[in-house]
Amino acid sequence: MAERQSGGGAGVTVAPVSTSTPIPSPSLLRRVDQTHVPMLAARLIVGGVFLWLAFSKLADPILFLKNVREYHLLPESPPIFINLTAVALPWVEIVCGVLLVIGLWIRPAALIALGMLLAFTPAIFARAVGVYNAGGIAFCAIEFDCGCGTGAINICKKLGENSSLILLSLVAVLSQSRKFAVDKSP
Amino acid sequence: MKRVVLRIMVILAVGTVAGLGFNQARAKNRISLGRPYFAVAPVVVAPGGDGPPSASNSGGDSTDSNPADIGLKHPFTPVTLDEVVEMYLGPGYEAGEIIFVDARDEEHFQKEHIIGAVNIDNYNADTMYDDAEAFLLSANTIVIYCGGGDCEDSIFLATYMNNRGVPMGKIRLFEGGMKAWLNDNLEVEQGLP
Repeated sequence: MAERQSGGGAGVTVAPVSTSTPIPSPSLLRRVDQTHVPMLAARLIVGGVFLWLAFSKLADPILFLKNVREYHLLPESPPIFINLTAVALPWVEIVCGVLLVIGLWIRPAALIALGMLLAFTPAIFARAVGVYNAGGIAFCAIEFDCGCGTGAINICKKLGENSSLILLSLVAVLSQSRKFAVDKSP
Repeated sequence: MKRVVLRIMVILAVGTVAGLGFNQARAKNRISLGRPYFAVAPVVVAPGGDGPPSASNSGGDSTDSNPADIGLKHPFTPVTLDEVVEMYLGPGYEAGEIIFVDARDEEHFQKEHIIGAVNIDNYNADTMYDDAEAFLLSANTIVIYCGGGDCEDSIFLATYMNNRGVPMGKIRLFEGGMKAWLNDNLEVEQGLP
């Protein structure tokens, strides 16, 4: 409790007056972010998965080239678009993966990861819908090689994984936490 | 914001340069940036409509047709399993007048292939074709096959070979491929010739 004495008076006590303004409590999301756990998990999981998938793609570049074509996201003529994508994409993933794991240029790396996931996840879904419409097979029983570096995989599982990675990439983009990161600037 | 965009561009540039360098250093499975791996020779219908399809071997732009279509349209003459077996058992095969070309990769070829077939992997065709060119051009008929099923590599290789100078009239496509051959329990060999 604060007490105030009137100037010059002989110890006259007056009613207490509050001088402090109420400090807004941080939101739940902010408090969770301040634990540094979400950012650390996002960096390590997204970065680790990107590294693992990139090295799988590098092991068989021709298979990856065929898979890139299967999505019909890029024109086949002139061929440089599709060929350069197959050559460069795994290495962009490696650079992003390393940056996320060590915690350097987190936001740009996470934005690229997010961009890739947002481009390929609907494409995987559309391809699965095509298989579903053609084959009379239950959607969650569909399996194909999505070109992600995992070989043939159950599509529902893959879509679930990608949705989680999209969420984690968003965390890495938005979080202010820089604990255990090489680059401490937000 | 500007800094983030700049860093994104740096990451993409570094990844691309690393990819190009690594690709160039590959001894095998190197992707040639300018090569249309999925090109299909165009189906040309003679004016008037009902004539047989034909295609040039001029090496021009052969990507006009849309390979994205399900059931790739191509101008090559297909052959059935029975016709392939007849060719295989006939005197022309042993005499080298008929040549079988396996368009799959070396790993699959080594595992099993039609006896006497030559391996030209569509994705490593430049050197493999050069090695076999004289032999191929001496043949009257070249039967190209791949895995069968939805495999399209035999069509792409046929287009490549046509662009390299093999006349369209010599090329036959065995669309049933290795799958049909094996389903009929026909003889195969392993390893390299």
